Amino acid sequence: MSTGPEITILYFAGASTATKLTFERLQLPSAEPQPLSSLSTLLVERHPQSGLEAILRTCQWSVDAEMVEDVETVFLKGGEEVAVIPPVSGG
Amino acid sequence: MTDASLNHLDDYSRYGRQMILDGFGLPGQVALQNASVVVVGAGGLGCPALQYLAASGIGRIGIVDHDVVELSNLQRQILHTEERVGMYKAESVAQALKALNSRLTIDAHTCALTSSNAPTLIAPYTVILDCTDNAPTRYLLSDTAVALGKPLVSGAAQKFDGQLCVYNLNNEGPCYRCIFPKPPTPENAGTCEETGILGAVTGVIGTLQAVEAIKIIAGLHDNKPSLLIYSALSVPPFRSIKLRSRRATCPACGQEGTRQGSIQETDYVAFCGGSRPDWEKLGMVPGDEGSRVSAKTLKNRLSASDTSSVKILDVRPRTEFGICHLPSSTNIPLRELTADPSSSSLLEQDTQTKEIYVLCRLGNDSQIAASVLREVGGKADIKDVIGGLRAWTRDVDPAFPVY
Repeated sequence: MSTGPEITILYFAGASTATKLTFERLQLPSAEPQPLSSLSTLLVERHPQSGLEAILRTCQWSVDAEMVEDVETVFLKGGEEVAVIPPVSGG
Repeated sequence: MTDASLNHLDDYSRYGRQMILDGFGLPGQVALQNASVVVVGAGGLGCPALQYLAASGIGRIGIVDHDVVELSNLQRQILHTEERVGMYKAESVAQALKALNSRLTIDAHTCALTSSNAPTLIAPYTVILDCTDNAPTRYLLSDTAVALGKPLVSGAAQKFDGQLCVYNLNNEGPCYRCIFPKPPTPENAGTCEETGILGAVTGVIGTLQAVEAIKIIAGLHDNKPSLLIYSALSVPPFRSIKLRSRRATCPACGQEGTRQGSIQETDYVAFCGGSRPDWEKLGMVPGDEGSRVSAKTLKNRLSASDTSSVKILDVRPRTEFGICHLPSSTNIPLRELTADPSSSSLLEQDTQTKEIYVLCRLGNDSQIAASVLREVGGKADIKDVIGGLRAWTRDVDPAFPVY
């Protein structure tokens, strides 16, 4: 059972296409701060067979409008706005 | 007068509206007059960017693009015209810009940018605009900008979304590799043809690229690197993401000593997962006889006297099916079919169905769909159409729309 606080996920470009969402609210699995690196697995479980997994492999993350350099050192406590930013190459 | 001035008296009237801006003034206009900008890609981003750069009075503009103008470009590449379909884009744009501002110096380069010619082609210019449509050239341009110590104003767009960022800003900001160290796979780096693009979205991003270039040249940039994300359908549509400094380990711009790896001799196409597949060509692969048929074979089968046992399954996305489809076809998008192969059972509810012909746009998705259907193991014989609806138009019905 999910009992943790909520965060907001913003999906852009290919991540938005795969999930068919521009944002969603996500409940963290526990009240303990979660490493940002654990978020990929949670999102892929939420959107199975969507192609999201392949997109997350090359995307970048921002938390509260700041680009994250190392997903291992950032922890989510709840209330954050996390953006999934894939590289876009079209023009 | 010893102070810097504009080259022609009528330039004061021409550029007066921007020169009277506080912070811009005569020095701003003189800076533009003496500046040179190179725009790589004269397409959806390049056209609006070039239009505003030329109008603003940038002294010298370089254009690099080896493509020719096609009809499908005109929906967003606003400097090209119906008359110039077939002309090199670089030359078409040069004509448009000359008509707009006859005093510009324009260098039209109709060659492809490669790792061997990039340093020479780019070196003469003070600011670089990345208006390209593919990942390998984006990495090449970023590495070139870092090596030459120039700012790279990068724009990108797909579907309803765009991104804007100045890389290597002031020779301190992060480069493209710092932000996106891993390139998208060719399958996930869809082209405008594959994924679609709203023309005005490229207009928004290309215009913002011109603004950033002018800010840098006129000394109006705050030199704080950020990534602007535009999502036309989201609220709010614009979001600015603050960027960190350079990655110390970046193989391109990282510090000597902490840098990891090297970008010498990088094969940019291989780095980005190999060449972009030529889907039209791949869709034409004949495959096993008995599993794939030509468009003409399907036509003949449909013209035969008894067609009650024949079903046509079109596996394109619903939106594309809505554009045009064969009269008797049923639509189950590939994505739904692979997620739930039993969704195809409705085709065989009619026990008479003995043959199913699978169709798509170019003849690639139909192969995947056909093998999914064979695995389900229904009673009907499954065949898919070589070259898809593109071949149908070419070989059977020229009046069937190509999009």
